Amino acid sequence: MSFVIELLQGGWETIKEYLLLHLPFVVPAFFLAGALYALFPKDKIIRYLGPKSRKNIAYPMAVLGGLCLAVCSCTILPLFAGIRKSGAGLGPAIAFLYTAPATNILAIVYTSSLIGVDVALARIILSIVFALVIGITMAALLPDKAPDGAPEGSPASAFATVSSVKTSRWLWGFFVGLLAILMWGASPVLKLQVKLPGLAVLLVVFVFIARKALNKDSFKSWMRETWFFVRTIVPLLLIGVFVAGMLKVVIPAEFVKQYFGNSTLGATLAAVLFGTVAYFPTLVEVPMARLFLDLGVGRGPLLAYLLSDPVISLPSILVVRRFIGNKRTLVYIGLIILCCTAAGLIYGFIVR
Amino acid sequence: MKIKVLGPGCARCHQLEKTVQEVVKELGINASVEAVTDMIKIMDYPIFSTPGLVINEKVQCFGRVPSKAEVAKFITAALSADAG
Repeated sequence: MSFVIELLQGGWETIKEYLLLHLPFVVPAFFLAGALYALFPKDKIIRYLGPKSRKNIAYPMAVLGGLCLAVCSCTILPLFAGIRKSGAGLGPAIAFLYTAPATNILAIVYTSSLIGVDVALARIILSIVFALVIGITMAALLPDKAPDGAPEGSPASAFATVSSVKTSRWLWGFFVGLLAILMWGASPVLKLQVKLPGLAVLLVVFVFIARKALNKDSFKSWMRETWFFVRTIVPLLLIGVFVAGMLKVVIPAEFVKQYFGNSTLGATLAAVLFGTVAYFPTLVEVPMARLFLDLGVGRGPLLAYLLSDPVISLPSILVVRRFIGNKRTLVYIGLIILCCTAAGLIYGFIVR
Repeated sequence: MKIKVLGPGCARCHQLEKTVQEVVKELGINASVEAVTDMIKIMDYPIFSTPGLVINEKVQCFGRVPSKAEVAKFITAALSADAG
C-alpha cells in the first residue's frame, strides 16, 4: 500500500517539478503555435514547393515550411503528401517530413526550459541540418522515376491556385515580436532584474504591433487555435509527466547511470533505437527525456533520443511507406539512426 | 449528396463533423456524412492540412474549421450545382 502512495507522490512531485515550474515558458509557446497555425501565410511557402521550383529554393522552403507550417501533427502528413505529389521531388518532401515534427516549436521551448537551452538549440539546428542532408542524400540515392511535371488532378493544381495574399508588414512584425518575447523569456544569460523590465517593454511594443496587425477575426482565430492546442496537448502532457514521475520511483538510477551515463556507442545507439520505437504524444518526449537525465543518462545519448523520437513513429512510417515505397522508407530510417547516433556521440564528446 | 470530413480525429476534425451534421439536419437535405480517419485515404485528396471538407468528391476547404454559415454556403452551392 505504501508503495502505491510512493508512486502517486512521485507522480505529483514530478508534475510540480517538470510541468508547473515551466509553465511560464510553455504558455507563450502555445500562443506562438496558435498564431503560426491561424495566421502564418501558408501560400508564401507552398508556392515554392511546386513542380517548377528550383532545388536551391525548394529545400530551404521545405525546411521553413517544417518550422512554420506544421505546428500540428495533423498537418504534417497531408503537407508531405501534397509536396510529394506536386512534383517538387522526393528530396524537399523528405526535408519537410523530417523538419516538421523535429522542430515543433512547443517542444523546442519546453526542451529549452526543462532540459537546457544547449540541448534545445542543438535539437533545432541539427534537425535542420539532418533534414537537408537526409533529403539530398535520398534524392541522390533513390531518385524518382517520375514523369516531368505533376500528374493531372494532383495538388500541383492546388499549388497553382494558392494565390498570393498580400501580407502586411505588421504581420511579420507580429511574428518577430512574439518570437522575441519567447526568446527573451527563455534566455538563461539574462539576470532577473534585466529580464523582467525588458519583458515589460517587449510586451508593450508587441501589443502595439498586434493591434495594427490583427483585426477582430484574426484575433479570434488566433485565440481559438491556441485554445485548441492547449485542449489537445495539455491533458496528455499531464498524464505523461505523471507516468514519468511514477517511473522515476521504480527505475533504479544506478543501473541507468552505469550503462547510459557515458556517451558510448552502445548507449547512444540504444537511445536512438528507443526513440525510434517509442511513440509518445506531442510534447511528452520532453519530460521523458528529463526523466532519463535525472536517472543518470548522459547528455549525448539524451540528445540522440530527442532527435530521433519525434521523427519516427509506427503510424507515420506506415503512411510514408505508402508514398515512397518500402526501400526508400528503410533508407530513411537508416539515415535517421545514423545521423542521430553520430550527433549524440559528437555532442557527448564536446560536452564532457 | 455525399459529404466527407477528412481528419484523423483531432479536436478540429470532430468540430467540423459536428458542424456539418448540424447544418445537414437544419437544411433538411438528403446527405450522407462520412468521417474519413484513415490517413492514407485522406492523403488521396489534394488538401494540405486536416480537417478537410469534401462534397461529392470535390474539396471545399481544408486546414481550418469553417463556420456554420460557411458550411451551409458550401452545401447549398453544391445542391444547385447538382440541380443545374
